[in-house]
Amino acid sequence: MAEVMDAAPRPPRRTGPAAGRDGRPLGFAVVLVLLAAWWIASAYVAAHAARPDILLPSPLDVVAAIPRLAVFAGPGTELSYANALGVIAYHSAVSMATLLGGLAIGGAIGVGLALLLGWSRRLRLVFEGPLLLVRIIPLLSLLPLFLSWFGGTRTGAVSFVAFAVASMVFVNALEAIRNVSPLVQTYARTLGASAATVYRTVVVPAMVPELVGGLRVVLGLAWAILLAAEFLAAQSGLGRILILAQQYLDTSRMILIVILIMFYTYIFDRALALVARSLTRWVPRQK
Amino acid sequence: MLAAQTAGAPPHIRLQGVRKVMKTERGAEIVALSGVDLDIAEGEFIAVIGPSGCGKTTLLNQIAGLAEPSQGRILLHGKEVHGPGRDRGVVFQGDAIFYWRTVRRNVEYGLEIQGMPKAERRDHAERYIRLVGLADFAELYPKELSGGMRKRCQIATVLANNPDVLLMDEPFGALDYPTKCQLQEEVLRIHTREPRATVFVTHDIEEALFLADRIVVMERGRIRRIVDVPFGRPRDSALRIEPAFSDLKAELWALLEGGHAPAARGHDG
Ligand SMILES: Nc1ncnc2c1ncn2[C@@H]1O[C@H](COP(=O)(O)OP(=O)(O)OP(=O)(O)O)[C@@H](O)[C@H]1O
Ligand SMILES: [Mg+2]
Repeated sequence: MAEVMDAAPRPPRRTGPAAGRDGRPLGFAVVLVLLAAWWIASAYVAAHAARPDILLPSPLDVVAAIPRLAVFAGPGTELSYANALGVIAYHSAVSMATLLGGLAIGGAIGVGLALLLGWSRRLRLVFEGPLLLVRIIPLLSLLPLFLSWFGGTRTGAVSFVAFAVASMVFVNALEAIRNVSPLVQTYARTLGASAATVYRTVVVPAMVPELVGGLRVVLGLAWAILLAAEFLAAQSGLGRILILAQQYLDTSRMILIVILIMFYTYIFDRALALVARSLTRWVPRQK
Repeated sequence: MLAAQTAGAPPHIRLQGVRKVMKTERGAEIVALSGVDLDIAEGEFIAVIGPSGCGKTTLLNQIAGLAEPSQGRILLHGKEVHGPGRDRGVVFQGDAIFYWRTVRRNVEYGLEIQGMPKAERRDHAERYIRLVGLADFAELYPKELSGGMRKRCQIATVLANNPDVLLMDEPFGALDYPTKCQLQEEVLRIHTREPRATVFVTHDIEEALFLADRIVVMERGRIRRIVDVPFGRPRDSALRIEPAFSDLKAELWALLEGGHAPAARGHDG
């Protein structure tokens, strides 16, 4: 017993994010297994199907397809890695600008509306119903409508993403405002804060974690919304070249573009997670 | 300020026939307070004791202005109370704390919204952080504190705001005995230095006796009895072991125990 009590305090056992690192090799192994499964399946398809390149190309076929992306730079472009890189850079930049524009505009509108409605009971009574009605319209069903309003322009794509983001963020932000502890708001009142000051100094900071959590979901959906808009209407962007590749029946190129989009989605999610962590350091977590 | 203490002046806080009826979610009515009359003098320390659910928190909320009485009125310096204000600081029974602010910035909150310049409010807050023994923890977030430390942070925040009236709802309920005693003595010191009308809700008879000038014993929404505490001030921990202290403690015990059948019990047992 005495020995135990005299022992120097042990370093605290790792919990939370640090403990997750132990699971990383396993996650990597799973990815390798999936890759191997793809390879085996493609070998099987190659042995039995008439057009394996359409049905399921092998990972090597996909890598070999990279130069063919240069086609999207226009007819007569040399099919080189350099030109393919140019194509990737251009269409990625277009898509990302659209996505970020839509997120910024839609996010600002969504949060702004939620703050207005969270503030005023009267505004809430008048506008909450109609806004929730907007929320339950299937988003993709509105795409043709945006097409007739904007044609196949970038403005149309940005507007559509912004609309989708605003409607999702609005609901999330309003809920976040409602979940701010009434006790803490009352506490601020007794410390001399006016209603407006409570809103600014308590409600706004306290709603951030839930808002940011919701934003990660919205971000994933925003990519899907963007691609849908580009399938139908755009002259450029990743969605556009994805649909073109499909029209050429070039599955390898389609897979390349999908992998690219996955990569971007992952990067965006990690970036947001990083921002989220610095914004929510204070949030009590269950251990 | 002391000039207000002339003979004809109204008491600091006056509760007149206060009744509070609450509605439950199912529509039933609960009489949380009824016929409560109480005058609290300038600088007087009142402790409120009574069984759980007897209306102590409700009483405090009424004075704080967090709910309007169903009947009767609450006067502060002769003026009726409507709504909360920084003149009445409240230490809540629950975990009232700004989770996104460090201890230091919690304590600064009231000063900050008043517009006190940064350097000045830092010094001011520092005093109260020391007072409650959180000097080494000033840069931590509330999630990194224990329950008792969060309570001390709340007390420091309320005191730093320099309220006219102090309303405390079982502030030391979550603390260990030595810390509790230490903070009780701290409360006494503060009260001696800057006496302000205080209403202190507690379950702890000894705490009530040690701190208060008068003890309000409540039972089912009513004031059952108001007991005068005869000990002078300043008080120190020696008081806790005086025979008179023990006697009064036993008397209050009997009063509380016999709460539901007052006629059936004597004081001689
Ligand atoms: N929001 C509410 N709605 C309806 N009834 C309530 C509400 N809050 C309290 N009550 C009722 O009012 C009565 C008094 O409650 P109060 O919180 O004042 O008790 P208390 O003396 O502070 O008890 P404790 O020592 O447990 O804190 C209780 O019967 C309770 O059921
Ligand atoms: Mg209570």
